[in-house]
Amino acid sequence: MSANQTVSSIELQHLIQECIKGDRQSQNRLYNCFAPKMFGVCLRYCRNREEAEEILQEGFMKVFEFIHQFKFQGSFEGWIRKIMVNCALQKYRSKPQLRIVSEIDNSNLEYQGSDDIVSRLGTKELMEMVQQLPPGYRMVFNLYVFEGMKHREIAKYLGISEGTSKSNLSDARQLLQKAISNSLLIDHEKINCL
Amino acid sequence: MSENLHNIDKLFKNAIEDHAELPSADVWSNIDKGLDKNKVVSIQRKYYVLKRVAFGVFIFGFVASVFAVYYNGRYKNTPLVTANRAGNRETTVKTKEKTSEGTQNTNIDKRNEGKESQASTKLNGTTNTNDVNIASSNSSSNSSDAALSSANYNKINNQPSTSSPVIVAAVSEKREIAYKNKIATASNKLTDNDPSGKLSQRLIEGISADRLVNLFQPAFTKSFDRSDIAPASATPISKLKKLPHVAITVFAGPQKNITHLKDGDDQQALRRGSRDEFRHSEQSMSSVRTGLLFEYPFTSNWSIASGIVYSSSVTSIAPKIVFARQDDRGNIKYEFNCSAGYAYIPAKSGSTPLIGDSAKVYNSKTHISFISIPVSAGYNLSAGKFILKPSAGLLLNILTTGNVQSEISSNSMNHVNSTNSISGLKSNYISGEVNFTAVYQLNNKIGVMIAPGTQFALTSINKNTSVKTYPGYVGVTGGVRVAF
Repeated sequence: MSANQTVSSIELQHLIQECIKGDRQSQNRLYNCFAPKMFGVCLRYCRNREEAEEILQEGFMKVFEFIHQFKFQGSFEGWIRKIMVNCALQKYRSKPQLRIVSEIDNSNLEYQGSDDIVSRLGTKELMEMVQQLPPGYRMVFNLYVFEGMKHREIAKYLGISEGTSKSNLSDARQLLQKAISNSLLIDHEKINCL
Repeated sequence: MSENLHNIDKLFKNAIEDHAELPSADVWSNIDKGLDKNKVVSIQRKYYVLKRVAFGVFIFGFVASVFAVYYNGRYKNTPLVTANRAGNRETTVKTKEKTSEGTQNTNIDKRNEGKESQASTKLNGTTNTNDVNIASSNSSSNSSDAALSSANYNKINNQPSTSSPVIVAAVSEKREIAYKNKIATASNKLTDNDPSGKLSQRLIEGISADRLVNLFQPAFTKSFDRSDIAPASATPISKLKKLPHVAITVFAGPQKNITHLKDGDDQQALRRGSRDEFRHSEQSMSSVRTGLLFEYPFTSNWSIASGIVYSSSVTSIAPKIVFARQDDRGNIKYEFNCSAGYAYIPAKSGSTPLIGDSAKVYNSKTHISFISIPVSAGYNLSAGKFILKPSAGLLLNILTTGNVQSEISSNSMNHVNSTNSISGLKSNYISGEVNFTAVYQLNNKIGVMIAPGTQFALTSINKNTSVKTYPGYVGVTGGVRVAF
């Protein structure tokens, strides 16, 4: 069990047990401990903040409903995270999706050092890039990169073929690379103007 | 290029994986409200099983109280005599034993005034005797008849002619009058054929009491069946030694669906929908039950029943979005999920959707039917023309129909589809049932019955699905019961 920044392992265990009993104060404390990080997870899977808050709310409702099923084996944070991801996927599936037909221009793709990009663009901007991805691409990218799933698992999870999963990931990467290049280009132009 | 793409993964992972951001305060306040609501729901779920048990107990309690009220009302004016009763029933039926030291002091006085005969039996003494002393045998033929009949009466009623203050009062007044009428009839017949009374006297003197009793027994046993005579002790009328008949019951009736949904174990199947989603989108339209039951009594009160039952239920499903997926054979069809399982609906002929394509489904309904083999045990309580039978048992339900009908709209074109294959639906499941059957006997053989009851699934009807469905029903069936 990974200790949270504000709660030690033993405290967390006690907190979970109190939450199982339905103690509202403990539930609030648990929420305050994990909400910021889980909100970050939700933001990755959603287009905007409102949608992410909706998923976060739904996810925590499930956490408190099924917290008695947590066996105290493995990471509690990982357990909550899995619930959040499932909620996000359910949300994704509940909306009618249109297939993406996008032409990706590869001509302007240049790679620079990752540290350099992070320092120049910032985390928030990179997050927005992920959010701007088409829903299908975003799901595959998140599951592959952040959850470490294989294409076979993603295909089973999303009800798509393995080939589609690979194709979506490739397209997502190219779109992100293009977005980074554009962003850097704009920054470069701004500097030149100055 | 490939290296760049992989570095994109690394870039984003390092940059935003641990990103944390505070959500708005509204999120917690909404969770807080939701938890209050969930608390109520969880209590309801917690007591779900308890409610069913309580319902069963209620049915049994109701039956017991109805019977108790009926029984008390029927016999509250009957002075039940208890002394010297126990253990005497078997011996007195035979009317053979005579106590060695017994002093017989039975005085039977008979007054026959016209058609109305009055019999009174006065018993004094200390020991049992089953031999009949016809004290007034030489007085008149009528009185001897009365004496004969009294002896017979004692025999039929399984009452020993005990010397203790016992007996006649145990018979209700109504039956006593009927009995007296029988005596009068028999007496008159004998008198008609023997006006002087000599024949009667000779008969009485020459024939033993047992023989005399046997002469009249058929007529009395027909009129005074055991079920018509108050029992010798305080034993309820329902606990008779007579074994009930084998019976066949044909029944049918509507049911109300009380299906219970639980989250499935298959996490991969979560995409197929949640319990709450199905609970809100599905509504039972109709549910009926019909069948044939064979009832076999194995004791005077207990019986087992088995047979065949057909049950059918139709559920309507609210319009929903479906997505194209690969079915088990690799064909791409729209996946339609419901609480029973999931079905693959083909697109309109000539068009094949791509994986992930969506379509809206209207007017969809599922039709599921089962053939069931019940085995139940019931306790028969007879009360006059009524037979009350609380029973409980198990049913093996075998799936016969699993059909999904839907109207699918894709590319602005609607078409109706029906498929008889619901994946995830098990071929059988086990359920329990509790019934309370009330039968009104129209005659010795035929009776009409009504049976309120409940059935509840003990195992789910589906597997490898996002939710587990436990169908339950509450209903009333009516039918005809034929005894053989």
